[in-house]
Amino acid sequence: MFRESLGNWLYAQRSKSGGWFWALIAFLGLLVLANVFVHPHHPHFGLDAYPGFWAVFGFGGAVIMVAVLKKIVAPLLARPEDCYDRDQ
Amino acid sequence: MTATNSLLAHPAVYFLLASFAVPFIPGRLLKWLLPLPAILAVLSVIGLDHGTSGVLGWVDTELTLFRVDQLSIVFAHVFAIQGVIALIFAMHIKDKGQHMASLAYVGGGFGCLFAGDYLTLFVFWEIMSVASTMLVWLNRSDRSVRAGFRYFMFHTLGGLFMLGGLLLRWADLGTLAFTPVDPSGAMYYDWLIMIGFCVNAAVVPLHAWLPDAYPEATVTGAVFMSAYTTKTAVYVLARAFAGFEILAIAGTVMCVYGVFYATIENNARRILGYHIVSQVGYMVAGIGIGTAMTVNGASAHAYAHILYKGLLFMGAGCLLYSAGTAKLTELGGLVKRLPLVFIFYMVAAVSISGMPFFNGFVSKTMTITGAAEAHRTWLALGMELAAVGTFLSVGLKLPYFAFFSKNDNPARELKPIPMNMYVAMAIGSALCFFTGVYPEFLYKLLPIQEGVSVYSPYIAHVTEAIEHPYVPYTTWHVLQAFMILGFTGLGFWAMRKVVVPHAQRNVDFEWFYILGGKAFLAIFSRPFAWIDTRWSEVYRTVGLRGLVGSADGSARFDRAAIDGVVDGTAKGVFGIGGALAKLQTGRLQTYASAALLAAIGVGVLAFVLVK
Repeated sequence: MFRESLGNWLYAQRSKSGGWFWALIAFLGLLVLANVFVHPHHPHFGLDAYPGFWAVFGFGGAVIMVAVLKKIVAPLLARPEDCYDRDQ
Repeated sequence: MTATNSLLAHPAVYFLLASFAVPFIPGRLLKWLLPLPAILAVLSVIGLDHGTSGVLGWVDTELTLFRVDQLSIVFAHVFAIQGVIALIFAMHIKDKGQHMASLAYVGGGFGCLFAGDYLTLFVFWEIMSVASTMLVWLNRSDRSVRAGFRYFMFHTLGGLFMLGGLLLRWADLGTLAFTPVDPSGAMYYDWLIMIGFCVNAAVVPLHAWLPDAYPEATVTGAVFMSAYTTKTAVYVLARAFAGFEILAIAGTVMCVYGVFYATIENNARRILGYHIVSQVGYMVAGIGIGTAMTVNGASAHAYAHILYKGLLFMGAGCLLYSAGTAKLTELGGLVKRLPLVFIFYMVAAVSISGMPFFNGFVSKTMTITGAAEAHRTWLALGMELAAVGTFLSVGLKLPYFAFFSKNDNPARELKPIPMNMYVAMAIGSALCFFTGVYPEFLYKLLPIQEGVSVYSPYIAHVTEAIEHPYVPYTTWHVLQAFMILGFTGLGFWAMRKVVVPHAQRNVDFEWFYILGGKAFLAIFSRPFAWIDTRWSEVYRTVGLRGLVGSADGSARFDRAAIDGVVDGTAKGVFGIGGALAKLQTGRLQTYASAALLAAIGVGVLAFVLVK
């Protein structure tokens, strides 16, 4: 009962991804705004004294990591999924 | 310190005895008794005093079975708690072999934590190695048998490094004591021991056994293995090798390396395996940097990691148990029918990602801040990058492709998940949250704190760490964590069409191990075999003919020379015999006069010589 209704509710959110996306954007906007006022006590890396450094770091890190690994590295390393499961 | 702990309080005793008792307990009773050794272990660990007991004389040295200090206690605490959770998770299993293997395995882990000398450590280390191999094999598939062999061979190699190191160390120092090593005075045997430890800690490039074998273990076996092997190795590294620069570098490499491979991996349990490499990297780096804050951070992270990683493997194990596969390409839309698995999984996923209010946040940020405060800027930045990648793979990619992407296929048969598995996941989730919002519970257990003597003299900045303890919940730390995670989420959204998993195996360092194995095999099957064949031919032609020839020669020699000599001797003996016979008249007066003559002759000779 509870499990079913929870499952149905979560499953229904798949078709509402637009709303969740804008909620995320609003949340991220608030974080960057807060960063204008809240700074680290001791910036360790130099650039992290500027507001939005960790925002750029998170977004850029994720995008570059996925792009480089999925587009360049993965094709080089790819083998059949069962390559170690059979006799040669 | 006083030794007040009885050997009966040693948690390994409960687990090893339970392992032997399992075959004799009827199945229905066993199910309910199963968590008992772990519950006893929790009670025992809470009551342990600092001190050493269980010291045995052996050959010309001492073995220490039960050394208790704050470093062993923080690990033992979480080993015991995770033991309860994992045994509850395994309650439905009817295969007694699996229970025996997992109990022996956890017992081995406790034995290592409390070992005060290298030989005791080695024995329990190998118990863990054998028992964990069984946890792979007992999955009883062709794949798991192969993966188990590869796993066992590699761990045997690591164990031999350690054995070689400890014997050489014993020969040189005359002691087996398991004590901290001076980073500036490490000898060759210390390095050998460290290599053995690094195999079990899955330090890159010795790590490939982990993502190879863990996905092939049983559903419950992987939950056990994710907690104990690598964290036992973290404990021994912290004990012996705090402050070793090479570990600081290697650990940070592990952090990003594991994350990179997880990004392109398809099998959910292999993704989690690569994230063990990555998370253990934080601990290894913290130990290597070797300040009080980073060593505390490494211990705290091990504690948090055991809880959330066990929970992650339970979640992924539920997918495998229920849907029959852990490959993301074959999953999708499962949130509708497995919503609780999704919720529990997500608690672990945000914990490993270091989201505020969950346990990863209070341990990971401690290690990173410690690294930054020790002015290891690049190391700290590498760890931050790994945090981005962790949330990307474990917090977003895996759950998205398993639970949300694609429509639920109603034709897919889902095996119902037993209640005990849900209970175990609920306990794990509660603890991840509890340590996250109440970090003092964890910080009170850490090895370096006020009133506890520091276990190693090679740890730096102890006074600072005690005077200014780390405070996780500052506005800045919370804001920074949410910014990193939130914008990683935005990055995932931007790349969601690119990050789609593909059904492929990504070759890793096992390729080099296999190459090494093939080279070894080739040396024996080609050049050595060639030499052997040639030698056989040489022997057949030259050797055999030579042998016949020499036999011929020796026969001739025998007849001509030996016989001649022997016959001559015989002739001579015969002649002497005849002469003696002539001399022997049998009359006493003849012998007496001959003896008198001889005596006079000897006397005259003596007189002449002396004069």
